[in-house]
Amino acid sequence: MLNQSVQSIIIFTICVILLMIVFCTFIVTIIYRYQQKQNTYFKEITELKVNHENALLKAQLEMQEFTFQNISREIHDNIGQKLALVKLYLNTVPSSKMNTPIMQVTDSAIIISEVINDLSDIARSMSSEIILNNGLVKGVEFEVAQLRKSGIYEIDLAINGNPVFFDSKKELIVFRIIQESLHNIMKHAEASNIHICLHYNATQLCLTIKDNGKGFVRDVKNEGSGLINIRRRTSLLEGDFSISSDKEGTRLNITIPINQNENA
Amino acid sequence: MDKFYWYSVIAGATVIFGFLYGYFNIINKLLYRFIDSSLLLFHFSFLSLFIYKVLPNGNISKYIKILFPLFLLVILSCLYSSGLSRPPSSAFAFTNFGLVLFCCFYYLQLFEEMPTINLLKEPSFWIISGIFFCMCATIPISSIGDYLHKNTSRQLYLLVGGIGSFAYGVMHLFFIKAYLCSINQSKV
Repeated sequence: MLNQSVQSIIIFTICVILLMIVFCTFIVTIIYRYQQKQNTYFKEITELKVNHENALLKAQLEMQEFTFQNISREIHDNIGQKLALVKLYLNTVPSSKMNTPIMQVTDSAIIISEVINDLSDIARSMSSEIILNNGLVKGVEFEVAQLRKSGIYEIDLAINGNPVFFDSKKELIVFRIIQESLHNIMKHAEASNIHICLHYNATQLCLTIKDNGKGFVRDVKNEGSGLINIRRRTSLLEGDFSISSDKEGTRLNITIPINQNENA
Repeated sequence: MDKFYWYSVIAGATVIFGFLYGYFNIINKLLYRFIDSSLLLFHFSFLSLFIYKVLPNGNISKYIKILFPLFLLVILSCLYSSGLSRPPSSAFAFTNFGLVLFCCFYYLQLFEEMPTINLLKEPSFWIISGIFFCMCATIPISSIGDYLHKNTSRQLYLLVGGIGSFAYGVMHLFFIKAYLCSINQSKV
């Protein structure tokens, strides 16, 4: 009798344990599969978000380029022409008819000539034609030459490796990154030396911009709009961005993958 | 979820009621049978309605809308056929089978819609898992309940009934977990 009841208790316990195991397995499987599905779903959402942000950024950049082109064209075709006309008038005014001394007129013509040249440089810097026609390296060389003209900075430009033409839109974005960096240095760094290095290898372009300015304390949450622009442009090119700064200056490193198939 | 605690309250009252009847025999037998059958109908209707409310409007909830009255009809006919005797095990079996089916609908729906909820913190998931566990465990018991009652020893019958009671207890543990989740949710 005792044996029978012990046997019954054992059977009961086994049944309960089996039941619990089966059910626990079922619940764990449901939760596991659901979380797998959830992870895939969130991954897709994140991808969509990134794609959407990239598309927005692309549209913004295109609009910006369009505005640059318009301003550049306006400077070249309208303001430049008008200034040239003023210069021509000043040069052709007979000296006998003038009330003002001849020296001032000559100086005005010289200043206008300089303004025309400066505006022409600005127009060329804003225009994307130099990149589209001559490529990134020529564009950077032009930008460096412009900066050297100011006489404030000693600029060292190094092109290493075998420069390749990649997608002109991408080259234009890299060019705008360099322009933005140089603009930041001029605005904030109080530097005297700038070093720019474009290093090409088979799969990527490494861009380094270094200055000997006062540096800055990084605040990732309150980054300036210039740095944000550089970061966003780099992410659009699926590149890596890093910046380091101390009292001896700032160093910006950007690595951009080059797709061999799209090389022109 | 707001009104779900009524199920636990009534379940608790049923246990007390059964205890009073079993040990003190202070309640009229006929009244006891009537209440027993009513409680079975309440149990099926309440839990089915809960599952139906949890599911969003769609094809799956439509199936519940169609199947619920059918099951109810079958259960009622089982109860009616047994007359004034205790509710037949077939009525319990159909109740459990119906609820298992509705729980399966819930799980199907879970994987059909966008997976945005955290299952571990979702009260309805714990409630339905509890129902599913209890009903799955008691389907075989309730299916052969009458047979066991008539043809086997009282000891075996009580033993098998014990598994059912154990499953019922576990179901209420799941409900407690669901209450805790809902308290946390309302705090957030």
